[in-house]
Amino acid sequence: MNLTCRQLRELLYEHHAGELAVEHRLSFQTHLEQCQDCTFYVESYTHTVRFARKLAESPLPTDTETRLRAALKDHL
Amino acid sequence: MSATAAEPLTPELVFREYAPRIYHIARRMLGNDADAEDVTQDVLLQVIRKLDTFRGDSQIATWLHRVTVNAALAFRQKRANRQKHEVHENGEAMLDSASADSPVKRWNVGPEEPVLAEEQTRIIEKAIGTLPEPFRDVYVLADVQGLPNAEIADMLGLSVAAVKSRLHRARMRMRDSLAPHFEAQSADGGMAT
Repeated sequence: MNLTCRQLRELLYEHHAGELAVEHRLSFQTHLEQCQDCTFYVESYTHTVRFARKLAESPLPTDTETRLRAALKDHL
Repeated sequence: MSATAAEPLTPELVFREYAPRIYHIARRMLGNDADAEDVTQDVLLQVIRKLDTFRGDSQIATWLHRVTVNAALAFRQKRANRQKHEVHENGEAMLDSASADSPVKRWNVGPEEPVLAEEQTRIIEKAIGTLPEPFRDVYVLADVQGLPNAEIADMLGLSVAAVKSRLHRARMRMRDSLAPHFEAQSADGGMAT
């Protein structure tokens, strides 16, 4: 089965999670070998996921920490 | 950054270890710094009062995620009732990705950096803020916080399949929002790393 660009992009979650069904793997790879747009799209989807994880451990803004500590001063 | 078994859980330790995480989950879900601060204060008070009932770091982390999400959802509901503004309860229609027929450019992204530049962070945070709420919640919990889909499904009252579907739609929308800032032709003034 040949995949269209839209069909391939609908499979990106499974592809990224390593959950792509066996019956789609060959057609997915074949499409990528022939389609530069989808190759770039898959790369950018991966970058998007990677960027999000880098946001996770931001510190508290200083003003926020000061106000929270003041509000919780009887408990800390 | 997590409490070790050798270090007993104290209110100060809970504040240091978990207040940033609570605050940023709430801020991204609510899209508002002041509301997130209120939620953080509420959640910290709850956990400090129950501190002696926790047996370890992983147990408290799971509990905190759940309480934070519940508090943020309740806050959002209260705000919606108060303001009666239009909330995009179902943003499916808004989440159509760019046409598959549109040309796609390669992103100008360098070798992996451990942290994002300040401007990159601002752009990504702004894009998160444009996601419709049901999709934003899943995106923040899954891709930013790295929580398992089953845990997210449980917290939000969704099936795991629904979590995956919303996450995929949110990622595509985020990709489209970020693309103009990271595409290769913007290297002269864009956000390449």
